[in-house]
Amino acid sequence: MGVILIGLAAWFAMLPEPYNSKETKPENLLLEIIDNSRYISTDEIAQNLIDNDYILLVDVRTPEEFAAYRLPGSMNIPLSDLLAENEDGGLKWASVFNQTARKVVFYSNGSIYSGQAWLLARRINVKNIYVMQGGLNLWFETIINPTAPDQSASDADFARYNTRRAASMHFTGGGTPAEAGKSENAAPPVILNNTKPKQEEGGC
Amino acid sequence: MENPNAQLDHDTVSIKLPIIGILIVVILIGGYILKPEPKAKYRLTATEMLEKAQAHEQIASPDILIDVLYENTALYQFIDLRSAQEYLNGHLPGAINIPVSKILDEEYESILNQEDHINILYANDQIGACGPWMVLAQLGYNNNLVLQGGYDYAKNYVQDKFAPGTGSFRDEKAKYDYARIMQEKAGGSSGKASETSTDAAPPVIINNTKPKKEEGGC
Repeated sequence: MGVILIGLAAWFAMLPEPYNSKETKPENLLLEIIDNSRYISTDEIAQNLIDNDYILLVDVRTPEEFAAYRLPGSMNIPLSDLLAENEDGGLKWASVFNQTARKVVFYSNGSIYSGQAWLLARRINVKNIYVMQGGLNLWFETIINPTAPDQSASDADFARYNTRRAASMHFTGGGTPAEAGKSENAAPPVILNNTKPKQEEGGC
Repeated sequence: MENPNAQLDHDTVSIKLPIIGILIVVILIGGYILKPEPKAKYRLTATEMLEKAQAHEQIASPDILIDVLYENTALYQFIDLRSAQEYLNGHLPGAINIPVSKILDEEYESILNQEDHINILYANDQIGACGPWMVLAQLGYNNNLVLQGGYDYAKNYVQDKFAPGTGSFRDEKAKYDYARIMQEKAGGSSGKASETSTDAAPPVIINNTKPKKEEGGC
């Protein structure tokens, strides 16, 4: 009987690594990739930052890039460090992965590296994680330096542009907000929620 | 003095126990064999996948694209991950259409998991092929590349009009000097200038990035 048990134990030890049921299965990972639900727009991020909603921005670029410029309140986890382990074998960034209070939003210059960070984190079943679509390149094009719509554009386009101009003021702290509108009717002034009035922001 | 009952019990036990043991083993083996296999199995750990992605060897750069389109096509096979409709509207030469939702289907495994040639996966943009590439790579499928710049770039800047340098194919390159723009904007544009101009200040483009090996990555 003892021999049988020993034989059993040896046999189990030789079995291939059992399927890790804690990880996201490949077919489910593929479904999540396809449905694009991980993306958050730069407009939404801007509004979140202005409203002080609890998102946790994670910059996956190098420390040098992060030091040169980063989004307000963001933290740096270089992509290469994402899955690093402690001496005790636990994940170095477990505190970020395990917290549920804030949405984690990965960003980079574009969408590829942040997307890779998201995919790897999803593989090990981290939840509540997102990607800022378009990255800093798009952030600068839409929020910091938005382009005024043509005169023929819709009211909605103008409203969005004015919101973006106001957001730009909020983040850069410079200049006087100018309202762009169609020549016939000016767009209504944009009110930002929860903005502490700053001297340099001028009126709105 | 031997207890006959004890002897009887001992015989019973010494016969029954091994039988039970063997039965247990048979049941375990049977259960393991008959257990449904998961549809697809990871062959790389998450950490191994990260290392592989960072090696940046999976990019089909514009150079490779030009080579494939205009010269040596035998070694490469385009895989179009878009819908059938988009594929029918136009695709790269010789491309096989495997809509992305089907890349784990058994009928395509022999195409995506092979050693004879190199597949170049593409979607409309580069990102659309990155995720699928990473899923396949984790399953241990090798010899798949990602088309840098995607179909949009390949069609517009290489196929239709040969101007590969003018198109955008580096998603992760910083387009602007972010710090400088923030400084300039905070430095205070005068109220007058803002009121009269309807365009934002033109973005500052940095020209002096150190050339890196395909920082477009994926």
